[in-house]
Amino acid sequence: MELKGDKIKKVEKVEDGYVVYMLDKIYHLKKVNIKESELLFINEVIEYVNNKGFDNIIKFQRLSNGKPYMKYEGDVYVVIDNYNLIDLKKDINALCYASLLSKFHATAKGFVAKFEIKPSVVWGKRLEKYKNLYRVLEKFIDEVSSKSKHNEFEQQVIPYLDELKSRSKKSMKVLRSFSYIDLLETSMKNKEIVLYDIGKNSLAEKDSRHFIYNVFDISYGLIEEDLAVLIKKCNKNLKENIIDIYKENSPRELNIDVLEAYILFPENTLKVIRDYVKQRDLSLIDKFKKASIKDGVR
Amino acid sequence: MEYKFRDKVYLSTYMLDAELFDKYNFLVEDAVPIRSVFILKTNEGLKILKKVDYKIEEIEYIYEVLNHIRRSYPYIINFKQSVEGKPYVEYEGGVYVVFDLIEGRECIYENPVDLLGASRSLAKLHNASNGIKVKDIRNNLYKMDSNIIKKIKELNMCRDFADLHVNKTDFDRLFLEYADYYIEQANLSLKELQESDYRKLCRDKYVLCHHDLAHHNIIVDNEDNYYFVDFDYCMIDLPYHDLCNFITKAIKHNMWNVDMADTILQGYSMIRKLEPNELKVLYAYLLFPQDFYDITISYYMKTRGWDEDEFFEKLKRKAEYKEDREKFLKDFKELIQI
Repeated sequence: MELKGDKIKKVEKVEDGYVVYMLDKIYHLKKVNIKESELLFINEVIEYVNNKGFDNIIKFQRLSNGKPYMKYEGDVYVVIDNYNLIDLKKDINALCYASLLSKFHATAKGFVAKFEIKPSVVWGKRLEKYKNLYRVLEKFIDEVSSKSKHNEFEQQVIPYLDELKSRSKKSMKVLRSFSYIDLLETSMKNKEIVLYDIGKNSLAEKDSRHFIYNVFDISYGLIEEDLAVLIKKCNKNLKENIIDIYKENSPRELNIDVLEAYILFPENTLKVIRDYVKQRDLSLIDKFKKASIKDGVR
Repeated sequence: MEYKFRDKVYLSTYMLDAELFDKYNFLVEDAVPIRSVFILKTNEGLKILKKVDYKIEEIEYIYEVLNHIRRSYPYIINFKQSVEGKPYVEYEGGVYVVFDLIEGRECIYENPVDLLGASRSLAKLHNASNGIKVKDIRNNLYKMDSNIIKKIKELNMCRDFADLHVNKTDFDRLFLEYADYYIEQANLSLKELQESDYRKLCRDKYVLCHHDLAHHNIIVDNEDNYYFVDFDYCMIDLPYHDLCNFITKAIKHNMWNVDMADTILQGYSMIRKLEPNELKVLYAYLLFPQDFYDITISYYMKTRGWDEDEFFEKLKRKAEYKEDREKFLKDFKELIQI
């Protein structure tokens, strides 16, 4: 891409686009892997929360054509300030993020997209993913139980199967309950907005302020899911502190049973088993070991 | 051909000009293409302009039955009348219809609240069919068994055709691996249907079936009302045809999850009870391997412009879920206790 203009001092190619050094500012021209319609929805949410006083979230610059993005060679780019990403695994950062998360949820709640903007919605999608993973686990258990000889991967996994099954079953029991459906209905009535994907690129810093950075999966969804994803990504010992900090600004009373059910579900480990069932790749052993540590599976 | 370009090809056949818009009572400020329709910005709000492929008498019948339905279930599309008072406009060799754009979001089948809501609403839509006028067009009553027989013949023909190919394609080879199995499934479906009360139920249990219950054809508005849109494939038929269509679309991308089918039946039965003999007909419909049939006919009759790889990938996906489908049918039969 060729960037021209009197005010441009320097352009630096980076992994996800370009950093553009202007005379008075630095911008990040960030390539995003989402559709234009999704980006418009996300931008609407960001502007909505900004207007309500929450500005600890990255903003897309509007371009001269009024759009919050540009297209180049089929790719979509947004123009944002140049932020520094910070490590969510550090306790202090995780707690900071928990605070921002609850404020974001509380401010974004009730958002109604403009008529011509297609809303992104994720209510029920993670649950269905979990149900599918559970079914794969059951199939895998049946398969290894019917064999007398096991390969290296299966030998590694078999000692974990009882716990995987028990945790998944316990989690599914709550997520299939009427109280979960009631909670979903409440979330839908409240028009709750979530970030959906929380990970290492989620928190950023600029000018000594912290910002929610990973906004690219913003959708209507269940706030307990966001909190569960955050807790799973951090130090396990931090769980209660994260919940306490979140509760300070929570938009409503949390359903702790549902939250615990999401946290309990051994998603990372079951994804590796699913990949093994599809690919029969024995080298997935290492991935399995890492995933079981992440999920705290003994 | 890439999917997005297929829509572009169809959109390019629209004759968009002021003369077309003059045939309606509103002023068009802008037209934006979405999938295979145009969204019109008008002085009366946003509307959808759609070019249809079917006959005028079908449009008129669909308009008539939807007006009937709307008396009891208002959450459906409404055709805008032209200046001549018709629900369509003929222009430059094409036939166009316009309806209001419904403000809301697409239904999500993975969301149990949406699934229940959509199922209950489907039952209400079917109930609203009471007293509907039945004509010869858009009428599938008493035809299901002969339709299945015809489809079995076609599948057999395709199998013979693939067998004859000296230089078999990847599609031919994969198709032949599964052809016998799915033809047997089709025969089972026919047997179940013939042994059921299908013909008896056709006498008085018929409704207007939507027949294309993809999630994007059910719109949830801001008051959580469930709107049904896109009635292009609607017909007078037994409600179990719609239920089969709905269940299959919900479960086939979710590992053929019988819980979803259970939720659908629960939601539907809250409004419109299903007797055991009706569930038996539903089971017969579900047995028919519609997806496998569709991809087979599309390939061998060249009804779609996909390339060889696309066809093969689609068939491969259907082959991969054979076991899940079998388990679903077994669990479903136990669920409905037939």
